[in-house]
Amino acid sequence: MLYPPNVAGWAGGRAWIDSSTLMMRLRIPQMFNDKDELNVAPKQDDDMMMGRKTDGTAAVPEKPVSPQKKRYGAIDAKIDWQQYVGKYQKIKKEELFTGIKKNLFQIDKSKVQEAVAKSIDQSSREAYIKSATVQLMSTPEYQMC
Amino acid sequence: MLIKRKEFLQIGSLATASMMMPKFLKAFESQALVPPGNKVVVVLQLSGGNDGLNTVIPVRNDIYYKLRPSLGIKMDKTAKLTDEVSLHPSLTALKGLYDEGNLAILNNVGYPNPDRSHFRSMDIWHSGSKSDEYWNTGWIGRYLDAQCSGCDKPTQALEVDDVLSLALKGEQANAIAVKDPKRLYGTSNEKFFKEVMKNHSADHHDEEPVEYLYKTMAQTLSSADYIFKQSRLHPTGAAYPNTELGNGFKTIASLIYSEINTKVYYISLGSFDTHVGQDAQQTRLFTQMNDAIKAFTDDLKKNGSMNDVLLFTFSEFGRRVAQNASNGTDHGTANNMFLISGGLKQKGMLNALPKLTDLKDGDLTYNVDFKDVYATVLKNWLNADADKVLGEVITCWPLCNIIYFLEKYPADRRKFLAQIFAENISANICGVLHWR
Repeated sequence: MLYPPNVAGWAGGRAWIDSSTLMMRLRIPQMFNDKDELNVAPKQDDDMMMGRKTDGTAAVPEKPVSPQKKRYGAIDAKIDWQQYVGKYQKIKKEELFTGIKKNLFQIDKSKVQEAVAKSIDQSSREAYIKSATVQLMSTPEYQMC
Repeated sequence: MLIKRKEFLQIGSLATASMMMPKFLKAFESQALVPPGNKVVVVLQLSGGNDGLNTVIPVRNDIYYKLRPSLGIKMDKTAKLTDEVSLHPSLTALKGLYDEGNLAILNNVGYPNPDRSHFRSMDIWHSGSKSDEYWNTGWIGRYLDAQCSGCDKPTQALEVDDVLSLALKGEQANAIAVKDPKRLYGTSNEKFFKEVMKNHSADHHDEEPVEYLYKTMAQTLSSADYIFKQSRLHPTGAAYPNTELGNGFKTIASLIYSEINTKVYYISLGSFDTHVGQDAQQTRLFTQMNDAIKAFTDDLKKNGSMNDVLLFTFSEFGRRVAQNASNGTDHGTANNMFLISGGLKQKGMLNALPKLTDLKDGDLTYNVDFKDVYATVLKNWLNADADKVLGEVITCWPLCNIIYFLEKYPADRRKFLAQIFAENISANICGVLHWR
């Protein structure tokens, strides 16, 4: 969102969607959950940086960094699962999926159930809620809110 | 199975036609796809506003050295092209290409009422708009719209990056951004995404916004698959420098040798925003650029593709003529472009160096509009409808002459086109005709 396509800002409707932005959004919940490495480099903003890095040194290092060595660092995110899982305490196991889906989706027409069902962790109630939530958030439907 | 008479006739006539068609005619059926040996464009964006005057250096011009007492590059250090003109010392490979006749330099490229903001000026170069217009699509994106209406893989244009630039966003289609085909394939090949896609039935209405997301997702998954497989078809064995740019050019070369339908590749290098200590930063970037271009063109020559690839550079603006107090230069206006190919008709210096006696508020004045360069590349290299892509009828400027007509034109057609170009040249607006 911080990199609008031009001075006019983000146009409404479909303008923000391209292959990289969509796939990025679909992967974010998973990456936060797994504390993955974010291996996507945003473009430089020369109006802000004037060809320097934030610490004022030249943006181009004296020796080129080999792309394999370039690391962006793992995402350091804490998800407050306890509070979230607690909210589903009173819901019966059979209705759990519908309940999570109702909470996450604004539209309710999709048939994502079967796809998601295959990758849900059934080992415990908590794991079930966590994995169902992350998976549901990784679908195109979730991007519609 | 019951076949209606009408359907039978349709199918039947097509089947017969294609069976009877001689093989050489069949080649024209898939016009949208690029047959091997077809023309490809590689755009190299120099982000941040590259200093053109220290790139193509007017070594006989006293004003240049007077306005740049410490930043001006002494003649004996430069890579000499002619008695008047030299290149930056790091651009030795480009000098080599110049000497071989594979390089053309176009000076004074810009647009009316130049903007000095990186963001805005890049926007103008990407969209191809005038400086008082704001467009949401880019020139390659609109080319893609024309090439890929209703196709399932928008791979006719690719950006070698993680994030897609405005230049490659169209009204209908967006190009694919891919830095590493293998990684994109890995991400999009996740089982979960495939399952979601598979379970998504097509009985929804097309107008629903979520359908557009599914469409984009489907295009991404199939493109990722396609690009990855093509990139493994004939991977280049040549050695490339281990820099991002070097790796990018290696990916591009491997794709050029494959059967992929990509016609435009887009890659960036930066930052050339050299307000402070310009010499060191520009030298580092030029070294990277020089080494990558050297590896790429050597590779193309070895594989006989040098005539089929046009590589051109641009930057959102040039820099001011005089240096500033921090041994750097500030944002300026007109700039030069390199055009590299074995298929150039006019080579070397295409027009006169900027006139340093004719400055506007200390800045260079442009006399070639960048949109004319786009028009020429689209029309004469990619054989596309430039007027449709660029939104207005653009005078086909003498630059037409520098690029060979597509080989597929028969001789009489070529003659006809040459005549049209000749007429345009005599009626053209820029005062740089003497080199014709």
